Amino acid sequence: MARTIKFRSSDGEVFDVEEAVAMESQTMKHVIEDDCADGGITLYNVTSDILVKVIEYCKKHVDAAVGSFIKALGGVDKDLESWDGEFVNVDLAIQVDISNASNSLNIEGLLDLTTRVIADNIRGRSHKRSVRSSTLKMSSRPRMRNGFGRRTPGRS
Amino acid sequence: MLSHSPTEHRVPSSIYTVVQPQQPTMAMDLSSAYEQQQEGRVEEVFAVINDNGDLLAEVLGRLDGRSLAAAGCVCRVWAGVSRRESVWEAVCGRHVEGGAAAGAGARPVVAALGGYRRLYRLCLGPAADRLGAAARLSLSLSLSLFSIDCYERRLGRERGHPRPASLLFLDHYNPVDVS
Repeated sequence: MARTIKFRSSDGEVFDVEEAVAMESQTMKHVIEDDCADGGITLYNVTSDILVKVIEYCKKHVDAAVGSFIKALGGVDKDLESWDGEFVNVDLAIQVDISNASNSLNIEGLLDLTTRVIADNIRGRSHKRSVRSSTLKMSSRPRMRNGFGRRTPGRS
Repeated sequence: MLSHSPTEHRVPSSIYTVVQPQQPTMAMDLSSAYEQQQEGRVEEVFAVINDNGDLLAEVLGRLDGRSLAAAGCVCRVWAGVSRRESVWEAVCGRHVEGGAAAGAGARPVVAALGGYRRLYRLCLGPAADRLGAAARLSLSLSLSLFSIDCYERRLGRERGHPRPASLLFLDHYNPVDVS
């Protein structure tokens, strides 16, 4: 009987995940193997909606690996690829959050998938267009305003 | 002696013109308005990437050479990350036969010869331009070309020669006959 592990997202929701699915994440694999997972694992940097998607991805890939001989023979699973394509067909902001989560959870396949999509978004942009989208002012660090305000907004 | 004409002392008016932001008119292509809306959504997205250097390195490592060079001109954060050797190593790995795994052992050699960014600029990038994006050089060929340039630079500096010229044959837009 498969063991289930409780995962708690940063906003308090609890998810029951099978051990095999949780082992897709290398970080969680080490935690489980070191026997630290008994009381449930709290993920402080992953919100519940992102965690749902990550668990969905891991579950799909575990099921696909178990049931398919194609992967074992070294071929490419077309159904899984098209499922992956649909999986990342979401808002860019959600994709970035998923890639952030997969980076911290160390899920190689998901990280590769999401970063490839983001890179396709950036590819071919002129640097001027990227500057308009991603200047330093967009960093989430709070900016000092009182007495240090800049005259021209948007240029640091 | 030139006579003082009134125009000589006039300051060019372009210094004082204030550039008005271009108001979208009906004549402008509607797709650019959509693009501006997309840009607004993209702005908040990049905030998350900018805070996480490793994530940004993963993303930039999947670009092609030209896009990566453009990404290095965007802001200081992106410039710092795009200068990382690991990012350029990932880019070079895609242009070399055998992929990144084959090139892992060559890391100290490449570092001694000048780094992956230089390797791409001098050898792999021009070769990709000439042969097409899908073509791959063998690892030994790319390292040989790179070391030719390295030694030519070093010897040239000692003897006072201006510029290494052996790799100019790779240049796509202006190939030089070095026979």
